[in-house]
Amino acid sequence: MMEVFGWIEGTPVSIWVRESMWAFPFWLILHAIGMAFLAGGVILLGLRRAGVSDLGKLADFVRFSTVMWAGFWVSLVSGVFLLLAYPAKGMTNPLFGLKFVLLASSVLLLRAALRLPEEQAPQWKARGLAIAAMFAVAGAIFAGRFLAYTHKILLAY
Amino acid sequence: MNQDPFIDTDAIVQWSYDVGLFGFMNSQWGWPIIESLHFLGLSMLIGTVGLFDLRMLGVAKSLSLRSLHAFIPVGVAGFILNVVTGTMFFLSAPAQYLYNPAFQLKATCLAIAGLNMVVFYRVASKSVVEVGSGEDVPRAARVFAAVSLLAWAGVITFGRLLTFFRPPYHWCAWCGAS
Repeated sequence: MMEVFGWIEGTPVSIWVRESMWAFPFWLILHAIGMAFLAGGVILLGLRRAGVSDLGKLADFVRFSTVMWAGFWVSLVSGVFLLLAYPAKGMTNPLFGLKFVLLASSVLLLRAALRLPEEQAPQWKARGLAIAAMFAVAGAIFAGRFLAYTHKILLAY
Repeated sequence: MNQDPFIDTDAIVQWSYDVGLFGFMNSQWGWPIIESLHFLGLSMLIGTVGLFDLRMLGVAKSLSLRSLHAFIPVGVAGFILNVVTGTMFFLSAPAQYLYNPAFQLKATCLAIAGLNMVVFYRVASKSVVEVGSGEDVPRAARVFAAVSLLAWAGVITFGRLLTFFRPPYHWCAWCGAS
């Protein structure tokens, strides 16, 4: 596997992200903005579904999921470029996989919570799913930040 | 590098060391824990204030502003979390922030966002919060939303650039030539 990572790190795109003055910060900034809208969307929709406020129709809040998904795609594309720069650093760290599992869990949990009709009692199931989605996205943020501090292998500098 | 005539960063670090903050922040997990909480606070802010701004600009128009405004306290809580965690970073390494061009620009964007919010709540918030489902906010109010979103994007941008402008970068307009 290390040979593959080494090969990727020798490709022009990987070298460009690593060595160009602005490429790495550019993708890092986009990743942060995308993640903020993704996590922010999960938090808003999760709080609404958890019953923090019952003002407005849930279906109208769900329209913000387009913003959340835009955040998801921006963070995914930027994340791919960041990963291409240092594939060995990311792919050999178990937190990288954990971040993905937690992000996927948060989106799936939120989707399940939003699919439960609001009028239908009991609400504890939807609330539980929404709260779990928010905890999962918070966990993904922690996993993402800890990635920078826990890597064991760094092929390219 | 010019000597700072107003702020003694060594004294700040010494105080931070004496109260145990420096030790915690420089422990194995201190910095990443606080960084994670800092980003969580930012996400709370973007998820509430940022999406409120987007609604003002016409996204998800079927939602009344009042129903979104109910979540602003969550954004305020996120902002408080950011101020507390941001202060912890600053007190642990003041020289890395104070003279860092990215930090100065981040603080400028933060001030613009704060000023914009104060003026918005004094001038436009009452009429905006009354805007119902499917209605547009007044054109002037959209300016507040655009400024807010751009300022927060600036905060994120310059926040991410902080690590790229550590010493030897040294911006100190108030230090004077010596």
